[in-house]
Amino acid sequence: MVQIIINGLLIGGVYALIAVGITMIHGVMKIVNFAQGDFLAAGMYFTYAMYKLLPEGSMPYWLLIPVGAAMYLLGCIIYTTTIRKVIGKGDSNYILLTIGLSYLLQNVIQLIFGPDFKSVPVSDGLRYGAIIIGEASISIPRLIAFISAAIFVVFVNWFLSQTDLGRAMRATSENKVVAESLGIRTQQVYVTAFALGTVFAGIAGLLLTPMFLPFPKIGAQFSTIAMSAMVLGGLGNIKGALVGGLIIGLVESASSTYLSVNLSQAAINVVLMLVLALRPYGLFGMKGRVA
Amino acid sequence: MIKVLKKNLITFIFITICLIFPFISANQYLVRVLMEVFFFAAMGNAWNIIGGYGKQTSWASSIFFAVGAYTSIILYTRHGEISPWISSLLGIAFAIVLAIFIGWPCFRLRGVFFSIATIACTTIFRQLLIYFEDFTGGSLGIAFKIRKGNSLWKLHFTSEIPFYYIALIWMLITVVIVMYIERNRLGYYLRAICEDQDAAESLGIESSKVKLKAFIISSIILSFTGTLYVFKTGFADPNTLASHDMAIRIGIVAILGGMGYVWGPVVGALISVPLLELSNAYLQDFGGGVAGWALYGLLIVLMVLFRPNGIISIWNDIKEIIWKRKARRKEKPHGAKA
Repeated sequence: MVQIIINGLLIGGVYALIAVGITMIHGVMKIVNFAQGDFLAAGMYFTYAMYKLLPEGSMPYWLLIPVGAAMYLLGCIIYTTTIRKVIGKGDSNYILLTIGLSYLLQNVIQLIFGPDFKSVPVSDGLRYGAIIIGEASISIPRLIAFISAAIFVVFVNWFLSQTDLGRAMRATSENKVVAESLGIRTQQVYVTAFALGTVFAGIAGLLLTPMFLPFPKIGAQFSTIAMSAMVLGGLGNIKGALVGGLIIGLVESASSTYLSVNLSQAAINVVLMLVLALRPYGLFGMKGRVA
Repeated sequence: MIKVLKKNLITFIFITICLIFPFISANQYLVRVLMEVFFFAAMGNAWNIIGGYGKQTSWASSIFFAVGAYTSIILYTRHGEISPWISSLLGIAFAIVLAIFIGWPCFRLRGVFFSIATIACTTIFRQLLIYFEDFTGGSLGIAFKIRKGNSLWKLHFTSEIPFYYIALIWMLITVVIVMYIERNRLGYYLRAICEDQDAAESLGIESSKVKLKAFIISSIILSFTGTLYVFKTGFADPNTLASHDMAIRIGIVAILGGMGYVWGPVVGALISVPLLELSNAYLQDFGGGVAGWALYGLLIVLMVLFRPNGIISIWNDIKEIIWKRKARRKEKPHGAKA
């Protein structure tokens, strides 16, 4: 029981990071990015490709900055070439566009790296390492992932509330026209928000590489996880996304222990459906939003 | 009669070509590709009802497709070779029940939340299919044992040609269904809702009821197509039939051709299915044969960015230009006199 909660919370921290990325994009631009999971897959593959350049057996966490930079660039490119043109043009446009992007990204990854599972050859000490306290064991890569994700979430919160760019982002999210009239360059805010969203997905991918073997379609499961956590937390709400991610982690770890590993995805989606049906404005959201 | 013929010239030419195609083409492969086109056009039509006219981007279509396919194949292989014509009715009944079950919570949601919910439903459905292994064959699926002889009742033919005609007829039926919906109250209601749901509701349209009706019709078409499709391919497995990819393929057919046009999905299927076949044939050695799928993704992106109304809208633009030119020509002599 304790073990289930520990596992759930640890992985939930990473889910929270993914959810923060998607929530950021939704909060500022009012679009839901269906390709978020595939950005995560891209982050995993960037890690896989760059890891070969590092000396053997080193920690993948050194790649944080290069992978982040690569993801930022990818986000900027995708935003300026495609997303920019569908903002504010109705739901079905961006749904179709991001689904298309997700499909494109998946298959481009497969074109480059092939369809099979890849393994980032981290040392066994990192992959299987664990801290044992009483009956419970805390897996080290999960703990590192949790702590780094938590740091990032705190950082985002600070960024949004304390920096000029963060304030500009919140202003744009509140009311684009007024923000523009106050001299905020909303296009720039959009690029930054989208690119940061992709960076978070990519870094989540990096943090997950010691635990998951990347394969081209791995993004799909994380897309639903990200959306579930986002909806659970109430949209555009960073703290909500954090809690949502933790809850999804708990649901996953409990359902794969008590039901079946094969049903854990289904359980997450059932939770998502229940939330959508019963509390469409999220667990902590205001009632004002029409879903 | 001639007037009707003249007005729908292209439609008639298309149908005639399809009818005589197996006789003029010696290439069995082309016949097979065209048959696939018909199946996907039929499913695209089903998607178009809810996704095109109603603008409710649904990714749950693979559920109903799989329901029809699984119901028929299970009843045939395990329960004494029940004819697909009978089992398809049961499949349709299941599809209707599921459509209500899925639609009731989903249609109270709007826009993107509806899409998220349908993706969630597809995932749940696929995982359940894989989980209940004894019943559905798990992730390996179910295949027919070797069947012999020709029988329309059992939908088995030694040649592809009867199936070709069945697929063609079914596609044309779905086109007629969509045409009928478009010209009737349901079509008007759907378009009103997709223009402005609040305004439509204030005029007394019960939007979730209308959407549910359209969803049910769409699920019936998908379920029957599933039955036909599985008897053609000979096996059912969750990772193709009930996958997210299948839902996307069905959607692409309509998106590419033109959402909200009767012939849109047919045009979309005529382009997208051969495109995939071609790239599978020629780009096979290139990156494990997924170049075609990557092309699919790129195609959606380009379509949304540059031609959000689909390929059929190009035709409409051309028609408009011709009309304008005609009108100008009529004006000119008039102007010359003055």
